[in-house]
Amino acid sequence: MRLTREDGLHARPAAQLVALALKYPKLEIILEKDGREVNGKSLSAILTLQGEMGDVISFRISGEGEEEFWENLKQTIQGEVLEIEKN
Amino acid sequence: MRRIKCLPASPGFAIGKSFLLYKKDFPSLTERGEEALFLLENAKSKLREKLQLDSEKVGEEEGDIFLSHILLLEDPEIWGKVQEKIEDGKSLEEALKEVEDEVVSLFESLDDERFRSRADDIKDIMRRIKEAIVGNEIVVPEGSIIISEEILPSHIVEFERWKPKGFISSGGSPFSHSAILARAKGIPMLTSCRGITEIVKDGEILILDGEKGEVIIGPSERLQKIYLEKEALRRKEEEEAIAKRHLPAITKDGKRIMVYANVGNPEEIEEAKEMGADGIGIFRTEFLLFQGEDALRKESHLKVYRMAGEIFYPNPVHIRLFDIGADKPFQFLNLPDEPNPALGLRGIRLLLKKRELLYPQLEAIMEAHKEYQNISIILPMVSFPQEVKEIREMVGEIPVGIMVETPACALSLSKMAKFCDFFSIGTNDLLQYTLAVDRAGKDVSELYNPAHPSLWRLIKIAVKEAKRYGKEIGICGEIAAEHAFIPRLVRMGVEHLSVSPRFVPIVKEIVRSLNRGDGEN
Repeated sequence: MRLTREDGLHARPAAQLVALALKYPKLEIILEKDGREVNGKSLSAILTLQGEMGDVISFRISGEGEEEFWENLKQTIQGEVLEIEKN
Repeated sequence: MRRIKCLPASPGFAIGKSFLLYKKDFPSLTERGEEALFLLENAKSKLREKLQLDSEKVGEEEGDIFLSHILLLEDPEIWGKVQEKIEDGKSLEEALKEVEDEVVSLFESLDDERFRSRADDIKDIMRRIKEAIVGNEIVVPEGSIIISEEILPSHIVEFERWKPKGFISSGGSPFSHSAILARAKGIPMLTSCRGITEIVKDGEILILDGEKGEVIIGPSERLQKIYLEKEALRRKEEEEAIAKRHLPAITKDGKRIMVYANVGNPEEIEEAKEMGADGIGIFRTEFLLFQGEDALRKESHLKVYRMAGEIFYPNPVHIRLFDIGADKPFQFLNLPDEPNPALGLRGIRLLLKKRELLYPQLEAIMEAHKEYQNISIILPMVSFPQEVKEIREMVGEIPVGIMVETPACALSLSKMAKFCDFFSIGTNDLLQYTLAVDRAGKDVSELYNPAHPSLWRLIKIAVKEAKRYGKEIGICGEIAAEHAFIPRLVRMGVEHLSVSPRFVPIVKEIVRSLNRGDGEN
């Protein structure tokens, strides 16, 4: 996904992402930016990625509820925050 | 009487007695092993409930702040590390402290201030966990000005019942969650007030000036009275301003000043209308570039320009051409790296070199203009008359304006005037280029001073020249929304002030209280 908000993956969008991720206890979600990987359920870790406007962040998802999480992520966050190019 | 300069984080004035919030001494949490883990889990679930309640007490935006606390409470990295340390034999105290230090120092090493300031949220959640374990609370005298090395978001919500008059922190930042909360609650706040916790004694009378960014310790009674009046006036003005936001801003001596809005996306256009703006002073169009290659198609522009034209018809909508340079992350444009982007290929210079970027935007503006004649063009980063001339020749009859953002432009309006219809002084960039100070530069930002006489001389020269050629001139930088500068700008004879939508009502109200005079000052 490419970050399209001027404030990047900042407090609010990052929180929306983690709030959603925490609803999937059996899903492992890893975010990666510039070779650094972090746990998608950890707000503190995601904030340290410093996702800025224009950055590309990739997701690695495995476990139960994969498809559903992805759909929900698109619905809750896309448009406002992210443009999901392809998984 | 002593004054200390700080950074304003939430506006307003307060007079009250200081309350020094000492770093609270918690009894040492010496528990280890199973007992420590049990106490921790117990405290987490108590806090989970409390946070839910707190988040219901505040509005939507502030609720977001509590959402991030709730999420930190579930953060697998933080609590995983705490658990590991306890399992390694550390005490509860040691485990919490070590993890807090690790995470906080990681945050503090980040380069971006907005991310760095999130370290406060980590400290906050750790403090609250400890409080939940030991269960003690602070009592604050009503109406105090609360002072601490750091003011945490939970302080602001928890202390609300003691009706604090203001908050001052020796560290902190105007970008912190605490500052956002203080603004939302209308409580004045100052940050970066160096040494305040050592200088001020408990119970001393203080004045907190959230506009100038100043604390006055031990003020005279006369000064206190002045500030009481100032605060009463400010509140009254705010209320009146909102009620009268859709009325024009006319000075006492009968001159109308147009109060426009600066906007950066379609939602803000609607907000601007709702806040009573007399038009759009600057419509920043860079948001369109996030569509990638689509931004190079006329159709992508046309819809939003028409919408803006329609909402504000017949009032002016100045569409600013793309204002970008090598420092902006648009990979599809393949902009070459430059050693000094602020002085490089940017704004109008870039557009004239990269015509594939310029033409779709101009075509869309020309087409939208056919339907809505209130639409016009404004050019960013102009330094040379030739740049304006070239655009003028391309667009025919559509009004063309110039952003006066470089000293060169401000000093040569007479050369620009024949190619354009109006001017808007972009004081943020103009000041940066005049002082050679990057206002976002960590070590130089304190030199960025909008009161610097050089800026005002340039404004004066520009306004005079514009008038000589009969062209409208206004201001679109942050100073256009500052109470301290508006009277001077109006007296100088500027015809419009363009500000963020939310400042439109108050700027209009300030204009109504002024005499413009003969416009020669």
